Amino acid sequence: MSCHKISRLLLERFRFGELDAECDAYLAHVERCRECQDEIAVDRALAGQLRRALRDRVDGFEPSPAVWRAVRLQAADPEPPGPWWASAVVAVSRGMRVMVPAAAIMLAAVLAWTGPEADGGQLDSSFASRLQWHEQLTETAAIENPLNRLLEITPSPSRSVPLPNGEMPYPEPVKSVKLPTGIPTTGGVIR
Amino acid sequence: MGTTQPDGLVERMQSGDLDAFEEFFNTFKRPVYTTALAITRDPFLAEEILQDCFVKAYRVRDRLRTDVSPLPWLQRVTTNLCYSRIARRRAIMEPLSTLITNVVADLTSRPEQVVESREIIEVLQRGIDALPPKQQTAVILYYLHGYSLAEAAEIADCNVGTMKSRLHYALKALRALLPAERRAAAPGARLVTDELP
Repeated sequence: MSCHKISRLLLERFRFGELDAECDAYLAHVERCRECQDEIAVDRALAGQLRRALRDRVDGFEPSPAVWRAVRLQAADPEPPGPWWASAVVAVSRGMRVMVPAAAIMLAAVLAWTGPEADGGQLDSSFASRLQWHEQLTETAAIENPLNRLLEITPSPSRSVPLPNGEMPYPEPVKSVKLPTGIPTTGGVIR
Repeated sequence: MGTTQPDGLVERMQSGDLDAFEEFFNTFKRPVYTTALAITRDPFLAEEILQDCFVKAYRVRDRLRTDVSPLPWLQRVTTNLCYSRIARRRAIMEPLSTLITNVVADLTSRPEQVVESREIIEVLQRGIDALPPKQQTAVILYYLHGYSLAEAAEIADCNVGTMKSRLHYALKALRALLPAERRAAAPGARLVTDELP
């Protein structure tokens, strides 16, 4: 065992007064080794100085008699009630501790169940089509409408009619949208 | 545990006897105040914490155990109050080189004498302030109050191994503040002042 390891092992035993027969061999080494002696001696001296430093913090100080009077006054008073919402906050926060992990687990389960592996990696085609249609329309309108009156833009009804087999076809990019009056365009159509 | 409670004190307090509460306060005020003062280093703040601690004790007196000393509970409340009241002030560890230069001038070759100087106490004070709260509490309970490892662990609400570990790291951190002294302690080592401009 190395010198360093011996001194480290003994340090803890010395610190907490746990020297026993197992330490005899190490102590025999320490008796011969000046480096280990120094190591242990510095540690013990440090502990002594630490005690002294801590005592310096508190020696000469006493709590004033006024503390007891204040304690007695406060103790005699009933505990002031907290704000009306405090109990609700506590209840909600306690509920959240349970609900949040449960919700996370449920979300993970739902995602695992409906994820790409579950349906072969394909989103529902009609849903995807509607999404793309909406994104394109929004993007086009945002670019072409300088007044950003997106709320007044109504898509052509023909775009949202599904095919006879029930699927929503992938729409062509929207080339034009009809705008209400008030937009300086030719014929009310922006191209 | 260091301060035992007189027989039936908590029971009498639980029955609403204010004289018993005063006796309870006088029995335990000193260790509680000492802990608060050692952590905060502010006598006024320590008094506030002492006050809050005993008001809390009175308000929850019905829940205090009568078969064991209330001191570990009081000490735990005190440490919690201290760390919630004081901002996590971290001593700005200014370069210690100047201080250490002054310190090592007194050094001799024996390590017992290495750490015996007023300046080292000051270094340690700052080191204690810079310790994480759990290590600081461990040091105060073990080295200031002289609680056993088991008692300190009970107050800190951890096991004995954890308490040992906290003390170990606290001492390691404090010892790391004294590198020059340690070098000087080695046999044949030259004083660090010789190496400094």
